[in-house]
Amino acid sequence: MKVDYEKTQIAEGVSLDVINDSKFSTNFASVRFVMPFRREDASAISFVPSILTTLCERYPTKIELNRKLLSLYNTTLGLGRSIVGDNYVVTMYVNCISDKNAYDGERVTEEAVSILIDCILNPKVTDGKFDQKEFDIIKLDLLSTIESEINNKRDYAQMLANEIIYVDEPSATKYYGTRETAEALTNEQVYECYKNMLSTADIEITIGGSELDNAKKLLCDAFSKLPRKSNNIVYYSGSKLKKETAVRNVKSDVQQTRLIMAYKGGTENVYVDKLFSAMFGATPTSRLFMNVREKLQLCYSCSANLAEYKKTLMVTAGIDENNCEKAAEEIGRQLKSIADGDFTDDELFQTKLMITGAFRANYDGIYELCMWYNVQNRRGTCYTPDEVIDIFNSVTREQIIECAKSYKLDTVFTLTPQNQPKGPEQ
Amino acid sequence: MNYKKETIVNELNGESYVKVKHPSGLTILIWKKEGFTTTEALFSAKYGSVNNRFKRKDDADFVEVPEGIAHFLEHKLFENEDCDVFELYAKTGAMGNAYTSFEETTYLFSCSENYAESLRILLSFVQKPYFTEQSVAKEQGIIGQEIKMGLDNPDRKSFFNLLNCLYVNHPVKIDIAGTAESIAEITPELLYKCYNAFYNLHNMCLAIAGNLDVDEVLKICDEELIPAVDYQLDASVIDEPQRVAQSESVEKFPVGLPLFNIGYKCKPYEGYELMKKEHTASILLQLVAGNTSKLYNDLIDEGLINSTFDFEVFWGTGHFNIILSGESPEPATVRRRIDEEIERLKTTGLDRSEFEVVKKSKYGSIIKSYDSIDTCASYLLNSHFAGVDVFDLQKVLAEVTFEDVQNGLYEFFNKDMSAISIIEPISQNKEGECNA
Repeated sequence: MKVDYEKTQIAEGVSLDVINDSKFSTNFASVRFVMPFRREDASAISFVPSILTTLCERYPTKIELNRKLLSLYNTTLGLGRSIVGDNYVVTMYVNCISDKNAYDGERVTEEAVSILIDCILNPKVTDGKFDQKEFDIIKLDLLSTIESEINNKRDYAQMLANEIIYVDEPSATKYYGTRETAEALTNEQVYECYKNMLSTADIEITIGGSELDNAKKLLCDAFSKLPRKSNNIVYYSGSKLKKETAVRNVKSDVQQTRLIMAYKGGTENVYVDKLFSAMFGATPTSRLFMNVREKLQLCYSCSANLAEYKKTLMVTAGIDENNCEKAAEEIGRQLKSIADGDFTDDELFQTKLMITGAFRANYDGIYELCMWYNVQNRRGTCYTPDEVIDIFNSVTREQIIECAKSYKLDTVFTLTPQNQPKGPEQ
Repeated sequence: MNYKKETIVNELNGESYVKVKHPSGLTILIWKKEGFTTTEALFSAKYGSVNNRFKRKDDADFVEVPEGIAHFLEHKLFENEDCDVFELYAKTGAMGNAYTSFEETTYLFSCSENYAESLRILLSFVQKPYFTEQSVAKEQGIIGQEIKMGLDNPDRKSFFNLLNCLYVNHPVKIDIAGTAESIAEITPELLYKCYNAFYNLHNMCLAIAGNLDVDEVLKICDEELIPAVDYQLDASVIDEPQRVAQSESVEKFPVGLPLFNIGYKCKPYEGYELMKKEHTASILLQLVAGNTSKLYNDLIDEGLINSTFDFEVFWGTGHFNIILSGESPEPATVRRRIDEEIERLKTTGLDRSEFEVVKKSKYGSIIKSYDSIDTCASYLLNSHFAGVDVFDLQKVLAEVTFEDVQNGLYEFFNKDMSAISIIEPISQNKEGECNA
């Protein structure tokens, strides 16, 4: 299937992706800032999109801005923050209905995009500071987020595990930093961070949907005139395998143990890595699901997930502490089994079938298509989903075997219930 | 086969879907989405965690079954006599799954090719139960772990504690997965008893949306569906008094800040009226506590709520509730402030222009949702079980008046019918050490 996709460089370090597709009722536009990650900046950077999407010069209170978004057929103004490889990515976006669906003839997309631009480039600033009242509220919210990180045990376990898996690397740090850096944040520091972000981060702009010409022009005009310098962002930064497997246990007030095993390795071909990780633990017929859950009945969930930019394969399970050792052994056994070539052509074919079906589903959402090309850009390619499916289907069993062989156990982390000591303590 | 195909058209954009009452007893809803690649199919029984008591017309008395059995049955149906159903889907490339809610058990797949073969798999395995002592024992272990996982979830705990405050008898207060003790009582015989009562095509629905051919779907249904006798199932939930069981629940949990769920128990509704009340309550909630409201902004400015604050209209057979939730250093103050704001608004009245803005935003949300194939399939299913048509959604929205919403202040926010569930933090000295 053909995609009407166009990529242009509108200024140094500023790219614009446009995807035209009239079958959708919604349009999507995003602006991403990509910069090398420094731990000490995490809290300040994470703060920037929060304050930018709360108010701006044109809508100087959050009530006015939110009312405008509601009146624009519930246009969503959202934000995202993530650590990709060793980079920090800040995203701000709007999602709105396409103009053809507006019953009052309103030019919804143009207006939504102009709000996005205003929020990013014309924030409410006085004397080199953001609005102090909103700054204080957002700071309190950030501290609440840090306070509540223990609420979700799965994420909490992963966060603690990342500190060991990625020790001395940016990915060991949470995207919002630590309590100490958050508490120490000042309004001036956040504003300075914002100015730096505008002038030094790589900017990736994406717009998708229908009737986009005016909105596209607004984005070009706004972002092509910024004084800029490029960062030459490198997305891939494989995490270094430890000389000895790190084994760590943390006790907490939990009912169920969380087991996380990190393997490092991988090949030069991301699609081989993806296919292997799917066969190993990312489908309902994967080795981990069929053996650790169904055959040995050790847990409800056991799956593998590829951290692509860190060349790390993460296996996670929720399990009874008594079964941890048995599960870890079985996970290792299944990996070895694939590395030994102990799988059928049918197993490989069926995994391809399932994963390629999921790739094709990207044609069915404008957000998904925009994200698809964002990831393609990071990989330095611009394949359509169909082209990637062709690549996927050409992966051989030998490549899968080599890929499985490349992954070595780096870290075993467990978050276990209190009063049942086991394993070395932190 | 001969049957009537009814086409329901969306006057807004010309889209349509087909509705068939199949001779087998099954209601079939088919929505072809032009230009889309994927197909999503949901095969669902009107049978959820609330249905722990039932009677077929050929039963002498009501049968009572253990909590969590509907969810257990969902797990077990995935295993047929020869193999696991996932293995069958693997051959077509479809992603299969299932879920049990309070009132439905749904088996589904999504795919971007071979939908016809996947549909045959779906229709076939759901009609072929196979339960043994051995397979039941195996699942007790797996579901036991799923239940344990839920016990580590403070949001879920807070939500169910609220339902236990609001409801005296209604089984909506019971956790969908049941407990380790209740699932230990489940036997193959009980599973067959439930299956034969609820997995009757007269009590089921097939909803399919996306890239498909309507006639091909119907042909597969003709070939795969086994006609069912209508046993006129009585699964009515027991009477619920018009009062709350208790006004407050407080429990300690390893969390950062206190969590809260504040609920208002309302009169239950059905059919078209239910849909209208849901829209009315939803608009009212946005006006009272949405991000443009005075209450929300005051509470945020005073640090009494944070960005986790949310609200919903939660309803089902025999229950209808307004729920507001989030984190707060002072949940009881948040509750008091909501009640005070309702009283203030009863005096001052709502803002009519704000009402128009919120109504327009709801229209936008409906339009946006039509872009998602799985949402369209869910709309088909949910509207069928609610006794309405999908496109009634926007029709009802247009009918909601300012006066309806204003009256909602009295109808939906009765202080005497409210409750709060609070999850308080266990004080933590340092990582790895906890004091209850």
